[in-house]
Amino acid sequence: MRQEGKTIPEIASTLNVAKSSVSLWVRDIRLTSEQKSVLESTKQQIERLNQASKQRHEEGMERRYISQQEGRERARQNDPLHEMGCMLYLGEGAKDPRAVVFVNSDPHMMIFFMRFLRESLKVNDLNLRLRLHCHTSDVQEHQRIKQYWLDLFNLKNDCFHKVNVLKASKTRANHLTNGVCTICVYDARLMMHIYGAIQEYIGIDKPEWFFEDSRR
Amino acid sequence: MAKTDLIRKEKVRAMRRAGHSINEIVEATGTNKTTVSVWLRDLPLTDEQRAALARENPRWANAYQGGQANRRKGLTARKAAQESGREQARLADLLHRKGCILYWAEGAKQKSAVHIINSDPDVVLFFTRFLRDALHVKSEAITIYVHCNTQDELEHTRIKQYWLGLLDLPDLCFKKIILKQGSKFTHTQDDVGLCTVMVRNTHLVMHIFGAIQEYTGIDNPAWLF
Repeated sequence: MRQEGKTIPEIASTLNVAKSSVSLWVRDIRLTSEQKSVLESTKQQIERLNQASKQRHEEGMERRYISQQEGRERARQNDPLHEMGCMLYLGEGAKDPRAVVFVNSDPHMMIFFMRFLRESLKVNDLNLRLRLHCHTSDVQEHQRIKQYWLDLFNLKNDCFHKVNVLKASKTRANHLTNGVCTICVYDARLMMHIYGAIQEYIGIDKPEWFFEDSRR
Repeated sequence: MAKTDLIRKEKVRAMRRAGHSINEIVEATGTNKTTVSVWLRDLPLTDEQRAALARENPRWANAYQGGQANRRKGLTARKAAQESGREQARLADLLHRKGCILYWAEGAKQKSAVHIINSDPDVVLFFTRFLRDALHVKSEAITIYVHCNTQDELEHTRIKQYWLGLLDLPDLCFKKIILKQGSKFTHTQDDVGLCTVMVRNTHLVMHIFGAIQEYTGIDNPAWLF
């Protein structure tokens, strides 16, 4: 196979032999210059791919940096709703860089956060996704709870894409009749905007918030 | 609960519905007084029943009156404290606003202590700044606890010094280290644990709750407790 001009990894994977063994076995075979140039070009292709992914990474960093700067800029304009929403997110929001995710069971807080999304960040209702966690597996009850949250948020379309049923602990005293609701907006730019604003509001610097995977 | 207990509980509740006092029920059924009290907590007496018990036992009646008066006094004080929070909220103090909203999200919704738990040093530091600068809490009034999952004494000293140094607090503010073994801590939490900052002061809690309501335009009577 080596004489046909195959690469060592190719041979190793077709024959299911270790790469080091193949390397030993073919060491005495000289490739023709034609074969060599073919292999060389594959190598360059891989190099180019690596280069491209590196560039994508840098572009992503750049994009995230710009979004965070926008958030910081906004934070300097002293908009109370924006400020309060961001502070709420610092405490209660998920630190997932790809999406704005907010989970709570308190209707007051959920309405307030929804107001922040709509009025302050101009999020379109169509981009909202809701999730529900509750303890009952009764489908009719699910319908009731879903409708409860939709009415609360004044949403027309059914944004719920998931209902998670959790086993209730027997000892829990405050059973939540309306479950726990999650608001998601899958928008990395928005998330970076909020991150930037939080840093500006409380005067900190968190470089780890630039990265795509900041969950350590 | 065992079946015999269930039967006994039903009997206890039936006696209460008939208007008997807790002591009478304890004597009649031989159940522990505390247990009886817990079982009856959601079963209030009617006004006539209470009046009848008061006639039988004037000492209890006085104690009950006193308790009610204290309750009203506490409620008035809490209302006043919430009002003071609302007033400060109308002054538009930025640090005050940010701190209160952070507390809404991350703080404990407890009656008697301002109480926030976090592993993010930035959050804890910011909150302490809010306590000192916006609410004028003295350093000595702050208590910190740290949850961590190592038993190493040296590590404990290091973690203690880390938080005290970060928050610039005297040694006596450090209450204790609470071991949380076997729980899945994330990387940062492994390093410095989880810090709890606490100020035991009902007035302050109510102040913050009042301010949150003023800032966000909601009304939550449950926060008066």
